[in-house]
Amino acid sequence: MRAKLSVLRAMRRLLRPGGRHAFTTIHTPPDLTPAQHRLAGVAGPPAVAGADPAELLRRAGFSGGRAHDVTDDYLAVSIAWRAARVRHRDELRPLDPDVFDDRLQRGAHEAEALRAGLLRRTLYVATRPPAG
Amino acid sequence: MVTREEAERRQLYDARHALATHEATRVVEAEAVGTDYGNAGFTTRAQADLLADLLELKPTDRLLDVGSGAGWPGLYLAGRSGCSVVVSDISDTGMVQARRRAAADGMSDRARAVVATARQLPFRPEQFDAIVHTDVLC
Repeated sequence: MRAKLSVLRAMRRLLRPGGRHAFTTIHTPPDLTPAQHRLAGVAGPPAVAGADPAELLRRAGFSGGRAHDVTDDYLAVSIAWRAARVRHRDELRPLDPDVFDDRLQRGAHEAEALRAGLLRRTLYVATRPPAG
Repeated sequence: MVTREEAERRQLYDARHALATHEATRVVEAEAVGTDYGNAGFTTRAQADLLADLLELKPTDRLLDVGSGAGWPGLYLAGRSGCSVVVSDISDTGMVQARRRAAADGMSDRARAVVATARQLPFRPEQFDAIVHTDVLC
């Protein structure tokens, strides 16, 4: 969590006062059980767990934060990536069999975790306060 | 100073970006996410358009895209809005591809690609009007 906060604070310093900041991030919803957290950690990206991104934004000194839930799109795109890879298996897999197999397996876990509500993807927009 | 984790990540991303130049990878990217930037993530063109609208990008703006891979979505946002852009990523291979894409799109005069980690961004304070990043914090 400290690393994420440190990155957000560094970005705030790079923005001019009043500058805009928009980003997406994949995270866990609140109130997961420890077992669900472990599953989300396996299915999602490496640093998926941790503090609420909106809270991190506030602590990094951004204001006016708004959140757009794009989890449904995340699931649709995850399924689309896996389906496209399966369709083009004969051309893709020879390029790097380990990468191909890993991506296919991760894609299946990811979609399963998304359907179970263990992962979310949110688009945030915030500003560096004009006098900040 | 790059940490061991960052060095491993750089190696992984360099390998992924090298694969992205193959025709089959390009076809899969187009089918899955509707882009042609060597994008292996989850940000669709529609979401990039939403990011551009939310950032209210103007031609006079200077945009920073952190963790841009091979230039997505930073180069697209700059192309759409007319702003100047710095794209940055830990992957040298990705940044080489981003420079090629900027040149192919006639944007070399307002696009820079800088190899850097998100933890150590080598830029002066208060020089950007907008910052974007997609799935870098996870």
